[in-house]
Amino acid sequence: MERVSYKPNSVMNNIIGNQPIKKLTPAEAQTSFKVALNDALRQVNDAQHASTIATEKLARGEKIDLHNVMITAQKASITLQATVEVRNKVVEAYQEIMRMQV
Amino acid sequence: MTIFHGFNISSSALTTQRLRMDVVASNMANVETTRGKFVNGEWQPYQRKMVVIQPNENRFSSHLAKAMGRTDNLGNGVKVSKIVDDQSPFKLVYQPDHPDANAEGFVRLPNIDPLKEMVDMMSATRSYEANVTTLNATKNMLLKALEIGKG
Repeated sequence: MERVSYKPNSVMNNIIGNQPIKKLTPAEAQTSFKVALNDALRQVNDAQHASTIATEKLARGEKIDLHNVMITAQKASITLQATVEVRNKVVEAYQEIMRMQV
Repeated sequence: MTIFHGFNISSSALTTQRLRMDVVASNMANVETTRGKFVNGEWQPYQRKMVVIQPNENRFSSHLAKAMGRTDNLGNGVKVSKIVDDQSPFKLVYQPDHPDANAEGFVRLPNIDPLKEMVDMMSATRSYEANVTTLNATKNMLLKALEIGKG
């Protein structure tokens, strides 16, 4: 578990003082975004897959608890929703940029 | 520790309470069982089963956190470490015509008290409900977090 500090000073120092923001070239930014999106989508896929497997196990009458099936389904649902939220934010930012008058 | 750690803890609790419920069901089903196991040429009645519940800390992450002296380790929920037999004496009932009666006409019945089992059953059911509530609260917190920045 990450230790959370509620002292505003230490938080500010962490963001501004200790870790200077690295300058990213557009290519680097795009690659890192691509990797992050890829990872997120893979996680969603894994969660959905786990949910499918659990449901199939239940349907086949194998040894699995009903609540574990439901919990896996909920995990998959939340992961998907989180990814959709991030996607919405990204699209929003893109459209904001495209609307810019030049 | 992932975002689903709370889910995993609640899930372990649900599994534990389900197992408790199964043990209660087994005890209730065997209230009159006179032939539980065959020991030294005679039948022993069924012995009441009990679960031993302990925190589920036996994971690498728990040991690592402990070794590093961190106190913010939550563990991984709960687990049933073993199912033990209740060693209290069997009930003796006078029933000379029973097939398992001894020479004096007494039958040994399992050491199960249906009232105790009912209490255990209610406790397991309510604990299960409480953990489902915890789980839903955890889920609602996550969903609320997704609403940050909306609208």
